[in-house]
Amino acid sequence: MSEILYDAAGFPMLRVDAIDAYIHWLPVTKIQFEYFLCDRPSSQFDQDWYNGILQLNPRVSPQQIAQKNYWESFITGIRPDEARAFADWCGEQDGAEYTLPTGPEWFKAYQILKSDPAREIAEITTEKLSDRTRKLLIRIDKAVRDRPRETLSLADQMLMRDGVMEWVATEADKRPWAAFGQPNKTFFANLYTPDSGQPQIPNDYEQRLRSHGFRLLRRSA
Amino acid sequence: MNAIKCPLCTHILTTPLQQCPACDRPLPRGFYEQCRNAPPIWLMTGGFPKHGKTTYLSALILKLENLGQVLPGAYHLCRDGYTNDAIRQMRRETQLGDQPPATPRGATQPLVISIHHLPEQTDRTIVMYDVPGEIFHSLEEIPDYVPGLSEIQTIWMLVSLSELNANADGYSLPGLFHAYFTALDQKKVDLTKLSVVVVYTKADMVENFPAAVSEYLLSDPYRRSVGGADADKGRGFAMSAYLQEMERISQVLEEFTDRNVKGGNAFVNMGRHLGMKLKFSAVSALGQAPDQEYNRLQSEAEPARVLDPFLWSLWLSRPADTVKRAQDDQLLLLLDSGGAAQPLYDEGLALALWNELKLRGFPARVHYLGQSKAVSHPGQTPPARPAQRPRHRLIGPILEQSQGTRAVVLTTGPISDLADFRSGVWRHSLFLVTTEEDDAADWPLTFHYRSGDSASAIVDLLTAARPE
Repeated sequence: MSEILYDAAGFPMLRVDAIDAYIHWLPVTKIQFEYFLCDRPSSQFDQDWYNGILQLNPRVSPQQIAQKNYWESFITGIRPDEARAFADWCGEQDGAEYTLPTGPEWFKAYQILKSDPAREIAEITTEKLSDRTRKLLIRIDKAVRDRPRETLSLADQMLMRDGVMEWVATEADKRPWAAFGQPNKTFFANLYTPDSGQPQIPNDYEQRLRSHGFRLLRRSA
Repeated sequence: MNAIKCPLCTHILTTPLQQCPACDRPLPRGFYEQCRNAPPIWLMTGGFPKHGKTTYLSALILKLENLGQVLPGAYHLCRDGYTNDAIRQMRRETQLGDQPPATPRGATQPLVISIHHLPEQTDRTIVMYDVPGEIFHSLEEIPDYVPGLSEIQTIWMLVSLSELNANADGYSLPGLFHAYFTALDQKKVDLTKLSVVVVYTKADMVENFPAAVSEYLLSDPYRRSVGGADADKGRGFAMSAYLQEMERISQVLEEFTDRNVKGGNAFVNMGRHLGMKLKFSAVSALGQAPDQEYNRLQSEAEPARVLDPFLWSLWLSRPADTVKRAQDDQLLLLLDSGGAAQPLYDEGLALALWNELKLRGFPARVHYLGQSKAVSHPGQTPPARPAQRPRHRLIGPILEQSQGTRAVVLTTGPISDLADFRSGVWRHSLFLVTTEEDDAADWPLTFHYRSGDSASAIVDLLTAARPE
């Protein structure tokens, strides 16, 4: 079984055996979401909707990504149902099942990846990627590596910390969505850490949360 | 590649030589090798006596000496001693403020100058014949003065309207053109492959030019002393934007010629009838009239728009393989279908552009911006109206999923993800046509569309752009 796969927008997903799924290498980017927008024009995701998203977290071009702004690559301010629409679209492209991870799945993947060392980005940026995607991955990787820290784990490299908050599904009926991850503190100051094993529960699902993005799982068929 | 010919007698050269085997005269150094990499532009300049031709050419040559200040990285080389001496003389006269003497009569030897690192990474060799004004009295003399007449691709007709209006000698625009025409006809030159650039010299002295022309002269971003420092160095040269302005002024001057220049209507009609590419430009070699008594300038020369005829020549004589390669490429026509896009369709620009592209051999696949799926395939007419549901101004998924290597984008506003492609291959092959005057995209190939602009001008610029 291949260790790396690519989603419908050509972005890499890494296999994590412990959860029997592929997980996006990074939180979903605006470039990925724009593939969805261009393939499925709809009144729900119209220009006003996207302008609102960009107001919360502006767009940055891959060649301008740096330590001070790399979170602008990711689509945030998005609600869980909107993230699910993207997941459904991904599934329609290749017939696989794409979902938001559950809280336990996210945390399990995090723990596994936290114990693995970071990889050479060249292992991920294969010739299958578009120039733009390759540039984005390399620039983000450089921004992550430039930040002083004792060790760089694979989870750090994949921005499960120091990235954005990420929507996950829960089993609670009244609060079906929560968030794991950790936003970069310049992007969104916070004290939350995923190491607690407890997801953060938002007060209001209708409110767009600037710090909240997502990544998907691709279930193994 | 076209045959490489001796610039002195047009004998075909097949190997690198120091001396032409036909005319026995020394060839410019490295001429054969040079022309293999830098295709020659054969250029003839002519005009009536005292119409400012020699003064203009001096200003141009000296501007070319400082070309790197206008086109970053560009430089020139004189390819033989004759050219070197001629340019040194021009430089000396400029430094002294003297006006150059008229072109002497006698068999003309061309100036041979190679220009390197032009836009689109091209090099060209200029073979320029400066024909003395007096010979236009006797038409049969021209072939004797210009041995390379049959090779000429571009003619500059240098005309001073102030001198023409005084008309002491009975000269006229059709008369000058007739002189060329007679000479070219003798040599059986295919006139449909010929470009004629009418260069209105001493433009600072023409009182009845349209205001647009005067403003254009004054707004020359490189209007500084011919050999002096350039305030605009480092600002970069947006070739497409400059060509767009040149095209606009050419149209203004053509209309002016048609209506206001004696014999102008006949000249324009004749040129069009013969199928030649006809362009107009206005230049001022000095920016002032020299002191008549001493034939010297009272202050430092401030030439305006002297590069324009040169840039026209580069563009109009670009190598055929550039055009052919462009036609081999698939082309995308991307139409804004956002909330404010209706005016683009009301003016019929998309259809006019699509038709013009088709005529030039570029059948386009059409997409709305923000829609991956094509709305019409090559051969199908584009939609006459925007999509019912407005689309995002997004381009990335279309570019990355297409097999195309060139694109024309019509938009009324900024494209969210265009900047993503600034440093990639699309930088030199995506042509942005925008109705926004103050667009912030700063895209290198941008055409600021104004109501009434022709689709052919846009396609001209597109075909000049070369994919990497």
